[in-house]
Amino acid sequence: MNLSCYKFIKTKLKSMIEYFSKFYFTIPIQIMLNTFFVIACIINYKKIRGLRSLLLYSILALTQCLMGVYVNVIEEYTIESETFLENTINIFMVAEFIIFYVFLINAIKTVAIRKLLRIILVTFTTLIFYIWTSSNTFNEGPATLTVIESYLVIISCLFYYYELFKMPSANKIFESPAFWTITGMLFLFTFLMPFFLQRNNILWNFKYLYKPIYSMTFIGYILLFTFFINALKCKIKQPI
Amino acid sequence: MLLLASFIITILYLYQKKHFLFQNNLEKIKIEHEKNILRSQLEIQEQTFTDVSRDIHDNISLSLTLAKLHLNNINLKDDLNFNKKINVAITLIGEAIYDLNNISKSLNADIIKNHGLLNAIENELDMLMKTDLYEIKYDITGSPVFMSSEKELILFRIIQEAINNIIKHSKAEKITLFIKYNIDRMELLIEDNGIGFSTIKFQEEIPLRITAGLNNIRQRAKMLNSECFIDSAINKGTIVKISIPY
Repeated sequence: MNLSCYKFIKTKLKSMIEYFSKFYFTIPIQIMLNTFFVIACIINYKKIRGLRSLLLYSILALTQCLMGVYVNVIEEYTIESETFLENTINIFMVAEFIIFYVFLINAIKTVAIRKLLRIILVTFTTLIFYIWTSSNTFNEGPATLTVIESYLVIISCLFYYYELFKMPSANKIFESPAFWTITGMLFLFTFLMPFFLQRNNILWNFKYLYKPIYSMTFIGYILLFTFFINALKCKIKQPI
Repeated sequence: MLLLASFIITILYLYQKKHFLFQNNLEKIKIEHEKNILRSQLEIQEQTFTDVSRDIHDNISLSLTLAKLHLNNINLKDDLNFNKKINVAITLIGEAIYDLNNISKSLNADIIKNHGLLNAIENELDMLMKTDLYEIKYDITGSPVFMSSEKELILFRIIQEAINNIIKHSKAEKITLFIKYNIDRMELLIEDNGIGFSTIKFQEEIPLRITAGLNNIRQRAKMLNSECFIDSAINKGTIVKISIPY
């Protein structure tokens, strides 16, 4: 019993390392940073008012990432498990969009831009649910929607930078949690967008490159959490 | 990736440049503000010296000169006039001492430091009431908030200046002093029913002493970062309203 258990663990560990190596070990780095961010947020929960939504996001991202590893490595790969994973990715994508957009709305001060972002948030979220229900695409990957999401988030981030220059530069930018958070978002979606734009093309024509190129998204998340940790550091340093 | 990194670095560089410019401007504004305050303080000091010298010249010096004249003209053989002149001289010297006391009290900031603004105002109004020339209405609403003694002193000087203007120029019979303590600011209202002046007239047409007094009030109010509103009309009295943040 013990021997078979040991063998099982050994096999799974081997396949996990093999799986991670296909993505240049970007997944464990992402998990590590993500976990660190979650723990740091929980420890400093009282001090991170304004960044608490990021804690929720990081918990969701960690769950999503671990679920991906579990389905691809530990569980036997089946169509059902693949569908289940696609469903969770879809839900994660919507949650990610809502959390990031709410954060951006709070960070941006110009009333007109805030209004516009609110309209985009409601419209896009409604549109996603409409597409899922009307064309039954909930079980498919969110490639197109992720591209649209990326465009929307990148444009909103650029609004933030535009506002930085429009408003009087009273604060030190290196000490602004919002700046680091939004820069993280910009980096993430700049990495996600080209991949999801070419995803089908890569799958059909360069399947052997799919996983190495997919590691781009993990690099995006690594950068995202690095910037989030920086934002957290600035927030903790700020006087309450 | 490189493009994005360059974009962020450029943004950081430009923002930092803008931030330094902003800080420099802020520093310049601060220095300018401090200079203005210093200038105002010097002007106020100068004005106080002028007022004191005028008071000494008009009242004390006159009383003492008259007392000296009376004492010089004493004829020791004339008993009736001797006593009369001595009594007049004593009265005049007494008046001079009283005037000196008043000047000393109005210049002394210790009352503010030791007893606070409200006691200082009450003291000032008491002196005014003793003249029996004015009907004084004094009211305080809200819970008094104690400000720094420097702030209270400037505020006290504003009230003194306004009262001084009323005594010297307004020919008023009624004076109202109203203080309201709000959550974030204190409101002060000083009103009289005197002859007033036209605010529509050109500045040059208003007597110089009135404008100097009003400017003093405005400058002092500015030093407190407060809003100052002065309104007047001919034969309808004058209102001075000041709203001071804590």
